[in-house]
Amino acid sequence: MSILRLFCGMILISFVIGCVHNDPKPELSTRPQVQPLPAVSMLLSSAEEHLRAGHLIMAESQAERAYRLQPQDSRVLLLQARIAQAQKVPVDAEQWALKALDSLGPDSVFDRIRTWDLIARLRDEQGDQAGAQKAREEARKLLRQSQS
Amino acid sequence: MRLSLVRNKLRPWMRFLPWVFLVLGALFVAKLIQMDYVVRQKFEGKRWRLPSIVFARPLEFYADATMKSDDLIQELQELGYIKSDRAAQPGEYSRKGEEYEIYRRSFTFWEGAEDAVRIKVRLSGRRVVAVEQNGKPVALARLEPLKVGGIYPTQREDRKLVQLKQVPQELIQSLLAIEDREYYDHWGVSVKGISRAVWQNMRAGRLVQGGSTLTQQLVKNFYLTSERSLRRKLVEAMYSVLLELHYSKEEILETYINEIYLGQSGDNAIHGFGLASEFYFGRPIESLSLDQSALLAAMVNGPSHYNPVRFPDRAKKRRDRVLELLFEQKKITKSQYQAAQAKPIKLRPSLRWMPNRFPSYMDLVRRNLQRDYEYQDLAEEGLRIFTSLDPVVQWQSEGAVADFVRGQGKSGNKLQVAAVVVSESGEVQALIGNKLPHYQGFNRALDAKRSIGSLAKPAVLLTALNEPTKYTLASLIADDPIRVPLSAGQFWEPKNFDYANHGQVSLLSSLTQSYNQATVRLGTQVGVAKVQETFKKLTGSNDIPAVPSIMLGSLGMSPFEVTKMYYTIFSGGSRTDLKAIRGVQGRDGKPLKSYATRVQKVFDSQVMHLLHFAMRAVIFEGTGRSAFIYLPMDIHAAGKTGTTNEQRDSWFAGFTGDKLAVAWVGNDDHDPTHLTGSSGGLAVWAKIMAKVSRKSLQLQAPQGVNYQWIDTSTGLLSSSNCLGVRYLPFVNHSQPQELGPCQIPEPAMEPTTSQEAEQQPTFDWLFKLMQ
Repeated sequence: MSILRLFCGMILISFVIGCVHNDPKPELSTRPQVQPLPAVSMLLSSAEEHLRAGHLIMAESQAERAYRLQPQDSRVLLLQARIAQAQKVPVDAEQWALKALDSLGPDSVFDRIRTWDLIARLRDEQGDQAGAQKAREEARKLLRQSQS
Repeated sequence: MRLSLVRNKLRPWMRFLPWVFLVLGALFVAKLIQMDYVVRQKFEGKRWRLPSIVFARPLEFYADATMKSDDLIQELQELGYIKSDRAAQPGEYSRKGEEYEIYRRSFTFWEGAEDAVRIKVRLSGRRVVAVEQNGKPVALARLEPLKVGGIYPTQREDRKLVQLKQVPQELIQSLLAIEDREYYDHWGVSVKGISRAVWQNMRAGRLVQGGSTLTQQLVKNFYLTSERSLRRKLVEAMYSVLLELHYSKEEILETYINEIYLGQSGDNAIHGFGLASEFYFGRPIESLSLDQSALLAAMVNGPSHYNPVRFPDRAKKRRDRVLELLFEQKKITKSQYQAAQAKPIKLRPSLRWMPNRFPSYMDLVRRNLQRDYEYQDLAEEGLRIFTSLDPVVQWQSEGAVADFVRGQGKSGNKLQVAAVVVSESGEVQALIGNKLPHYQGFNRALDAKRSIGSLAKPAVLLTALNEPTKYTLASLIADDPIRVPLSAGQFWEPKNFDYANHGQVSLLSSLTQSYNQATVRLGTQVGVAKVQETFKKLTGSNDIPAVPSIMLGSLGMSPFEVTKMYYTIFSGGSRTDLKAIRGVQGRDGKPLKSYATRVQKVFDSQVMHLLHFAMRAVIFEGTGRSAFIYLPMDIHAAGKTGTTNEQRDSWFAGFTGDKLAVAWVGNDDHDPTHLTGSSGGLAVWAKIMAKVSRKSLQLQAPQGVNYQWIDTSTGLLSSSNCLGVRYLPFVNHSQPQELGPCQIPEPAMEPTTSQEAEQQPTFDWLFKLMQ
């Protein structure tokens, strides 16, 4: 009888283990795992060319297409920021740049410095001197950290 | 004598005769001038009121894109692609296993015109692994988008304008052979043609042939009514001559080709050979074959009578007659004639195109457009509107809703459902405003403002977590009776759904188990004003009342508004206007207005990471567990259930790695549904997500977030080897500093091997179950 009870208990335990979903441990790497897609790289090159040539509508449409494919790619977000800057909409550009910061991992120190620098300039364009100063401090802090 | 008498009697009249003739002549000339004016004004002005065309998103092919064979085939069929052994012409595709060759038609996309190209796509394991275009590997290729609707004037006429040079000679010759063989020789009216028609009709003893020239037919359709009288025939002849006097044969023929009525698609009339070739054969007019050209010409005389779908034999007989005439007139060789005659009538696979097959989504598009355009421009200027509607996601969502309603049995008759599906980039991919997808009335997704119930709880938790020095997911709060003072000396005493008190619970549990009392206590502690501010930031709306009841969602929001609020959470703290339109072009393909994405960062990604963690726990261990009845095991998600008083509304809002969806189930008359958030909204949501989501939610801790083992009963620090512990995220080292009761030293190896940590919740569950 006790063997039967043990057997039933084991079946119950294995059933419960099988049914309950494990809450997977979160990915503790702080670097987002965005694998650059060749399609996105191609669209970004095309958008860059249009941006350089001053064809802002085309640059924007290519960047939007890239954003649809990979919205977490920091390259896409930074390009959106630069396009908005070229369109003379620094408010939007700053928001894109802030979003890009979230997509940059801690290893991308240089990119983070550049992004803070861009944010500082965009805040200057909006007349937000205090905000610009704060962004520059963030950039300097990162620079110091990278040098130490 | 008598003659002179008569003359004398008539003489006064005779004297007026020249004047009478003069006046009549003047009237005739005046009428002629007026007719001439009408002819020129209509012909030179805007000839047609062109409805705007609404397109879905184009399907993109790129390495690593998720794609199922079934979905691809469905999209190709809806686009009218014909399966063949080898894709030889635009509009055809072939399949060998998981490899597809598609001869894509030319199309003017939002980003510019692209020629017809051969695209080769190889799929493997529901992913695109290789893409080629015209034989060369490419990073990106795409299909032309599906036409999903139009915005029409009162007369629902559809047409695609073409130029004469685009029209194949075989089609022109077929048309002239069967309708007007002397077209290039007459002045609008053909005496020879009329005589021949009279002779043929007399011989047959019935009306078998009309004597109208193409010009007369055009005049009849273009300027006159369908009245049949001698007077109208005379007017028609005069108009025809005037038309021929002013315009070249080519101009008249081109107008005829765009004007002629060639059938019906639902309520919409199909006009012109340009659209007819796409509608019947799924290919552009330029690539029509001889037999197809002959069939279109054959239909001109009676599009209903010679409808190739309903009367294929009759249509074939008439087509063969056209081919015979072409051969008799030496326009084609005998071998061409025989080859074309031997071909069966083959139409595109899907002739069920409906101009407004996604009425709820079109409603959203129309509302967005009306901010920038007048209705008349939308209905008459032939604008090309590019939307973000994903037809595959829309069909699958519709299928999921139908499946849910079927499963409700008789109670499903009264229930209503609304749902919205949004992509990671904030584009609305599907919208369901009614459980019946083709219903064109009240759009619940946009207009049904219903209490959101517990969907508000993440906003309360977010408000608290935004103060990391005071609140963490491990913080404990009492889930006991609470009295919240209201104005006029009244009190609000919310109860839990199960009417039980749960004592001290963590903030995490208060969300996963959806405890009302704990949530209201937390909201009261942080302050209603701050909760209100959080709502404003999440939704972008200032229309949020500062009352305590918002903490339990007693504020009316439409499913679309809820989607916007949850998108801010999904995106990690950036708010955006959910996008249904990508851009608008003029009829010539020139961009008129782009609808670029704008984002606004309203919450830090660190705090949002904590909220994602808690909402994921709702599905793993809380009120959203039943999602796994429908969701595949490898798709992880985060979300929140919502039920309102007396179960009038059943909501679920949640996201996976690539999609956010919000589902609502309820009765229009606010009667109770007997469904909780889990059995109603969640079931719809999970059924939709199981079909449309391809990417699991992966929590990736941003910089500034660290994880610690926490004793769940005390909320204090613990270690991985203790029972009743959880591995929780904290912002900026805000974890508790005090050690809990269990402190078993960590093994020498840090348990990065997530296996141990992963097992923990399972055994935790098991432990609880055993207890």
